[in-house]
Amino acid sequence: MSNILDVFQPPEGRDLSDEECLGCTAVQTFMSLAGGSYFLSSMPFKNKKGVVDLKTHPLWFQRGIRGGGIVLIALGMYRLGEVAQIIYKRRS
Amino acid sequence: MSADHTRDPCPVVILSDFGGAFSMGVIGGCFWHGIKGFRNSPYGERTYGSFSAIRARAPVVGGNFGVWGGLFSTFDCAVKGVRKREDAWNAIIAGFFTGGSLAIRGGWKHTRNSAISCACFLGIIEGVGMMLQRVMAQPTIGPAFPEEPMKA
Repeated sequence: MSNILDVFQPPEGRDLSDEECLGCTAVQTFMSLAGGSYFLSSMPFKNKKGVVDLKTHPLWFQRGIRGGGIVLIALGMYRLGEVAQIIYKRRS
Repeated sequence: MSADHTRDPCPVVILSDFGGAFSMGVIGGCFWHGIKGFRNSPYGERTYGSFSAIRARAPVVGGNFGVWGGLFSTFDCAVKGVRKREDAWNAIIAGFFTGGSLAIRGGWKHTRNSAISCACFLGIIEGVGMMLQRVMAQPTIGPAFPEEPMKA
């Protein structure tokens, strides 16, 4: 029942079903949008004084993280569509 | 994320893991900072110093553990959802992402090193866990005794 305890007692490998899961998709939507927004902002690169140190965070690194943020937001939007689709299917 | 609700209901297990890790951190932090506060206080103030250190530091340790546990569980669920398979690789990949994302503010070198070391650490734990499971699962074979007692 816990992903952390499964590390100490790994379960036997098995394939998971493709069943639709509203809660899982909704949580993934939220996490993707929140994580993507955080990565897109300059918050991960600023130090305590609010200055971005280019030696610690070179431009390619910042662009890579921001690119990851864009991908996460796109995934979040896609998953949001899936959430709406699941709700629509259940209602109709 | 995982869609199978028989063993690990994935959105719920994230909260459960976050709470479990937070509690573990708080309990461990109480012991750690209690002893540390006790030793670093002058005679006559040791009990007060111990409680004071616990009050100030134990919630911080709990919070750090909780963030790690919640993030790890979230990534584990996400990896399960993408791979549609449950095995030892999920924890290693989740550990890689957890270590990396927690260290992202320290710069790219810190991120890389933290991600790799966290994945290796989880890989070692998984390996040891699997090894122990195999050892425990082996049938115990008793010693073979001769049917007739040996003559002296």
